Amino acid sequence: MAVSLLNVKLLRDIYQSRWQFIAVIVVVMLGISFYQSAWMSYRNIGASYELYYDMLRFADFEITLNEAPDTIGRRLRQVPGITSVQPRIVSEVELEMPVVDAREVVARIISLPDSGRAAVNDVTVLEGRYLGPAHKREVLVEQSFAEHHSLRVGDYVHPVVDGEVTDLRIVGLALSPEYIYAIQSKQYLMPTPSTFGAFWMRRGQAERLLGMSGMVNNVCGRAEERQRDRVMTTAHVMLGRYGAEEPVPREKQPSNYLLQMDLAGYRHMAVFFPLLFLVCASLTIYTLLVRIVNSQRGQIGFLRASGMSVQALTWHYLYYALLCGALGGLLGVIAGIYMSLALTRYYLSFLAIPVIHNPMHWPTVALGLAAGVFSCGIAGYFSSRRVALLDPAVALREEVAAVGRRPLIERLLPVLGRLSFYWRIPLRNIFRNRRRTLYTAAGIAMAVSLILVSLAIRDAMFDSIDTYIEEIQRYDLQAALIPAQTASVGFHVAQWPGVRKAETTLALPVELHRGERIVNTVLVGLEPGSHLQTLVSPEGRPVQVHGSAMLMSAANRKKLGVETGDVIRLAFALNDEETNIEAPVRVGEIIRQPVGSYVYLPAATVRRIFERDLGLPRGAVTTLMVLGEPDHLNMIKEKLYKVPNVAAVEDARETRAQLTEMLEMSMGFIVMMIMLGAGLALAIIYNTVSINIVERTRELASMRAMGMARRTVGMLITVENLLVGVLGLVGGIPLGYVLNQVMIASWENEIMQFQAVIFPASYLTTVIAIILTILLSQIPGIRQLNRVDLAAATKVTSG
Amino acid sequence: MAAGSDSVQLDKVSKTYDMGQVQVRALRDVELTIPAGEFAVFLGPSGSGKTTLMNIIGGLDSPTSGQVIVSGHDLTGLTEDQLTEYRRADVGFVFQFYNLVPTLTARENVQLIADLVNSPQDPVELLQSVGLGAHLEHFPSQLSGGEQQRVAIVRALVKRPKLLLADEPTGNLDQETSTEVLGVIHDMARRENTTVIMVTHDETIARDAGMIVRLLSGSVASIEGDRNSPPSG
Ligand SMILES: Nc1ncnc2c1ncn2[C@@H]1O[C@H](COP(=O)(O)OP(=O)(O)OP(=O)(O)O)[C@@H](O)[C@H]1O
Ligand SMILES: [Mg+2]
Repeated sequence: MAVSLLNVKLLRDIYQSRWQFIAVIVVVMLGISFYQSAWMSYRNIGASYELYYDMLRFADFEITLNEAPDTIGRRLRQVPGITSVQPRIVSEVELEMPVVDAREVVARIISLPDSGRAAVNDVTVLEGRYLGPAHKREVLVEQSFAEHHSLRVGDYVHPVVDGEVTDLRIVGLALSPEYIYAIQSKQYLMPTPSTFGAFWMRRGQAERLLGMSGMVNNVCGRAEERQRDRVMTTAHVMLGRYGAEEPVPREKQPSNYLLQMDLAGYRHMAVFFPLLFLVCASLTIYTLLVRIVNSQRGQIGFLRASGMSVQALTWHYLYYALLCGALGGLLGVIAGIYMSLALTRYYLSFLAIPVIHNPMHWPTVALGLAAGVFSCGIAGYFSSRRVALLDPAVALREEVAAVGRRPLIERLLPVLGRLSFYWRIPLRNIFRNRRRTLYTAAGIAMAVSLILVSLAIRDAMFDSIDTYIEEIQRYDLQAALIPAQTASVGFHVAQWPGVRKAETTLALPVELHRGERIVNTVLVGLEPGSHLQTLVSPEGRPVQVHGSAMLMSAANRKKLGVETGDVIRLAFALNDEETNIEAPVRVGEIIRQPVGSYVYLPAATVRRIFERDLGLPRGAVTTLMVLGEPDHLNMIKEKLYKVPNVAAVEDARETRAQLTEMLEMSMGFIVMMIMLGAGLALAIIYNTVSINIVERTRELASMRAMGMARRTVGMLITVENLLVGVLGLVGGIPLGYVLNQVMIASWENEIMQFQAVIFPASYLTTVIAIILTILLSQIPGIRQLNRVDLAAATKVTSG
Repeated sequence: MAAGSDSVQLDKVSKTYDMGQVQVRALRDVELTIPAGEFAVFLGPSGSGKTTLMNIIGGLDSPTSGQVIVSGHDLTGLTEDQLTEYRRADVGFVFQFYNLVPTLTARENVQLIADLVNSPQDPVELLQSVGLGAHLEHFPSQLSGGEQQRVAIVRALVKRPKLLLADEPTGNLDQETSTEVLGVIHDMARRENTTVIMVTHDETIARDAGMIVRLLSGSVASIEGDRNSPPSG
């Protein structure tokens, strides 16, 4: 025979339980497509950044100078290993904006060469056109700033230089590799389009505007990869006499740094979840196959009695698994490629990056396929081993071993024996076949944990924002005071109408040292008992600053490698030849910090360390926090800007909006995950529940044959499945909880720290989703049962 | 034919199932010779060891002590692979539960087994000869119990086994169908000169047998119609 009859049997068996088979394939497919899409978009997003960087000649390093003649470009080009250099002017000016709250908007003017394009750090014009000749008063605006302020091509902007207002016409909206995330400086962890924008103009124009004829104050360059560090050092030394600051390598360039961090978080998800999915797929196939093998014990026994070899039979069942793996893997890879395309596009369009690099990554494809086949193969191996372990002499003795015995639980709880028939029969069934109950419940538990973990990611994000805004930074407005003022400013503002509370802090940029490790951050000196800036422990308990114990987040402690009680060296971040402030401090307890990485001491302690050396006024403060009546906030904000020395005002509402927007970018991924998780849960539950019915067709058919109404049988099945569902929920919720802890613990992000929380709504959603899925999953089985030929179903005794 | 090379000889065969606390002695020192081509019946009450004995002869189970010699070969020393080979080449089984593959048709169920050996009989011819010519492409669920059992018998015989072992093949069938099925076994065995060992509770079936072995609590109680004298000892 060309095709072995065992293979014919395989195909027919598959056809007979095609829906289970399809469900398993779907499970594998989802797992693989998740891996494929997440990993491939992780790679492709990264590759697209690189492509964009290359196209626009993104700098390998940048050096800020005081002022230097533009001839330094020519000199730098002599440095061996350097491939291109671009001297330029980078200056910040105030921008006059027609906005109500009159806050200061900073425009960073960046020069582009008078002719041709920039050798390093070029721009893409997304709308409008590139700059015309240098004598024209034209400017390109960074696109997110333009969008935030509704600026269009043809509009005018008004920079203020030395008190003089100029008009510049916007000729185009632009994106540059330096401002994919338009971040002002590394102190800012996110874009602030409301107060900061990048503007590009011809060098001649910039020179006139800023009065810097023939001079530059910034140089960026590209170098051969292996020589870059040496090139940077050489350039730094060469430019020393022009007041060169420490060169900033590409990895530390703020926009790129943030992008890479995002990507790293993404990578974490791209590994953790698919792995979880594949484990689920593997377990689902294992259960399905074990059940198939068990239901065919008689046949297997006979075939072995007839002299068919164990290998032939083992392979027969292994084929099921391998077929599932290969088909699921293939479909998953194909679906994953399309999904990765969509995800990559979503991300890049979110960042307005105009290019996309979507190479086929064959190792990922191969690994996806291999993972599908492997996860199923493992499951197949363990389940088909049962064929070898099966003793044909024993298998052939049994028909369907259904011993009618009062279950232990009924004997222990006689009350159950008096329950109505609708409860008693399902209860007995559950306990009679414990293995089946266990498999079904395990499948459901897996589904439960998947849905829960997917939902919990969203919860963690919102919890972080909520905790930050509502429990930690409780102010509505926070004004930065430059230079430091005395605390009286707080008392003054507290008297304003609509102000409920005003408090102050003293914040300074610092470095924390512990051996070789350094953390750059801001030290906040809090007044004891502060209401508008409170600290909480990871468990949510309020924590007070006290003595000289420095409170910091777990992330900072980890970076420094310190525990409570350790001593670290605190240094002023702006130490130079004249000022050198240092003090040892002890590490206090852990605080929860959902956003940022500030560290805290009592204000009195901060003053004791810094006041004298920095020449601060007595009782110095640098920030003013205000809690106001909601309808007075805009007015208070406006008034704050008019207070002398208020440099900037942060609005908590805007912070929340900005944080939320930042998270929205991750939402594409999270929505995909929730959908895949739900799909997987559906497939698993469908599989376990429907096979539960199919496996018992004969038993259920004979109940009907004995005269039980269809509805009654349906009812009994429903109650039984729901009871198993409850078992699954009882097991799955703790499982999901633990998985979530593991996942959050390994999820690192420098801007936001997440805690494993699951909102009650997520629990509720999970429970409802699972119960609905169970009810839906049994419909095909019950319908099939109703259509079953009673005579045929009770007749075939071969199992 | 003498009790020659194709006979089944059992020498002091005992089988004990170790159930932890209890030891079940399913067979006690069974001495038995079944000549080649014989039609033997094992009779006895439930639990007397009939199935156990049959399984040991068929190489599905091994004795705790004693020797089983089929066609001059001692089964007791064989490895698992050799036993599989023995079952494939020499033994055909029929069970009370037909154990047909539900997703294969009558013909395919037979063909599946025929494919295991080099020179099987023609499945279709064989099925036609037992009156199933019209049911070749029917699935087990489309066949009656008697028809299914006839398929099972054909399936056991298609390999041209030397030995047909049938464990209560008529256990699920009515009187009329039983007679029919037994007729099939008789005819086919005679055609190929197959040795048949059949287990049954039913005294009436035993009447047609050439040899009746009565078992009681794991021991041979009597042997009737034996044309060869049992070995001395
Ligand atoms: N795998 C086993 N483990 C333990 N005891 C067993 C096993 N198989 C059979 N027995 C016991 O061995 C004895 C003989 O069983 P066997 O099946 O051979 O009886 P039988 O004569 O075929 O009975 P029946 O007519 O009911 O089929 C019985 O007491 C049975 O309980
Ligand atoms: Mg028996």
